[in-house]
Amino acid sequence: MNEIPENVVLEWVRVNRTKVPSLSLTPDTPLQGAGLLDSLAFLQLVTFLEQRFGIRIDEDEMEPGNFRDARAVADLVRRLGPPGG
Amino acid sequence: MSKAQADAAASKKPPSIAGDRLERFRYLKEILALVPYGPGARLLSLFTGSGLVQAVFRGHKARLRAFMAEQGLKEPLKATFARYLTCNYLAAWRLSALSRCKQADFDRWVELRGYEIFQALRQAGRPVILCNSHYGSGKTILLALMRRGHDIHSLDRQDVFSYFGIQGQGRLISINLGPREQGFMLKQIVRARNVLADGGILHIAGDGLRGLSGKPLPFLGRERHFPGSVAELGIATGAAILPVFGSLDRNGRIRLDILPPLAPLAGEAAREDQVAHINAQYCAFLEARWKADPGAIFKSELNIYAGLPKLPADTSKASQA
Repeated sequence: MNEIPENVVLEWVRVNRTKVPSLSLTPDTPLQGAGLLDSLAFLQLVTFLEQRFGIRIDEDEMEPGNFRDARAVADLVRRLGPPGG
Repeated sequence: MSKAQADAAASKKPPSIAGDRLERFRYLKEILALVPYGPGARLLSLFTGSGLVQAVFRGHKARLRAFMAEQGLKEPLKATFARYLTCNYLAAWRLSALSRCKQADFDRWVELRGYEIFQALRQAGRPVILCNSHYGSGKTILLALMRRGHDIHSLDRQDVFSYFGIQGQGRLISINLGPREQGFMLKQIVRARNVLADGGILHIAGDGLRGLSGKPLPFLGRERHFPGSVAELGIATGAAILPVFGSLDRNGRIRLDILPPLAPLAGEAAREDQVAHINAQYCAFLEARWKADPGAIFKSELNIYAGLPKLPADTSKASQA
C-alpha cells in the first residue's frame, strides 16, 4: 500500500461530494454531518476503495464511526489492507 | 447460517421503537388482530363516513379541502375525506387481517393488475425493484406477491410485518432502516444492492424524504425532493424498476397496479442524467395518482406537501405539460 489512504479518500470526496462544494476538506472534516456524502455516495466510495486497495469491506465494518471522516476511512483501509502492504 | 437466514433472524429482533408511534399499538394490536377483514372494513366504512367523525378530524379535512381547491379537483369532499380517513388509519390492522384471509377472500378484497409484467421479468431472471409510495394501500403488494410464492426484501423504517404479526413473513425479509433520525444507511444500501445483484426482489419507497441524493422536482405546483436511491440501485444492478400503487375504496376493496418498468435513457447517458430521467417518470406517476385520488394521500405526506415552497404558476404548468 504505497499511497496514503487519507489523500486518496480526500481526492475522491473532492470529486464526488454530493453537496457543499465550497467547503475546504481536511482529514478531520466530517463526511456525514456536513452533508458531503449520502449513503449512495458512501457505497460508491466503498466500491472505489475495494478496487483501489484490493481489500474487502464487509457489512460489519459499515458503521458510522468507520466513515466519520477521511482519517477514519483511511484507518479502516489500513486495518483491512493486505498483510505487508 | 446463510446470509438470507441471518437477515431473517435479524428481522425477528424486536424493533427499536422506544418513543416511536408504533409503541402506542402495543396492546391495541393484540385486540385488533382478532377482527377479520370484512367486518372490520365495514365498520371502518361506517366510522369514516360519519359526519361526527369527520367533524372530529376537521383539521385534516381542511388541509385536504385546501389541497383539492389548489389543484382544482371537484370530487365531493365528504366521500373523498372518508377514503382519506380509511387510508390513513389502521393500515397495519388492514395488512394483518388481509394476511389471515383465505385465498378466495383475499382475491375478493384485493385485485392485482399488471402481474404479468412482473412475472415476465422474473421469468427472464431480471432483478426487480418494486417502487412503492407513501400513498394509498401500496404495501398490500407485499401480501399479494408473497401469496404467489415470491420472496421479497423490503427497505422499511420499521419491521412492521413482524411487529404486527402479519402472516406470511417467512417470505419477507426486512432491511430495517432504523429510527427516522438515523441518517447513515450504508449497511442497508449495501444489503439492498446485494439482493438485486443476486437477482432478487426489492421493495422500496420512491418518495422517501431521507438522504441527500436526488434532486428537487416540480410536484403539483411545489418543489419537492425526490431521492436518487431507487434509480441509483436500478442503474447499478440492472434491475427493472416497477412503480406500484394501491388504491383503496371506502368499503376496503384494494386495487393494486404494477406499472411497466421506468424506461432508462437510450444510449450512453451519464449516471446523473439517468437518475434524473427515471425520477422524472416516477414523479409524473405520483402526481397523476395524487390528482386522480386525493383520498389516498397519506396525511403525513399532505402535511409535508403543504410546507413545500410554491413554484411560480408558469413553472408548474410547464412541469405538467
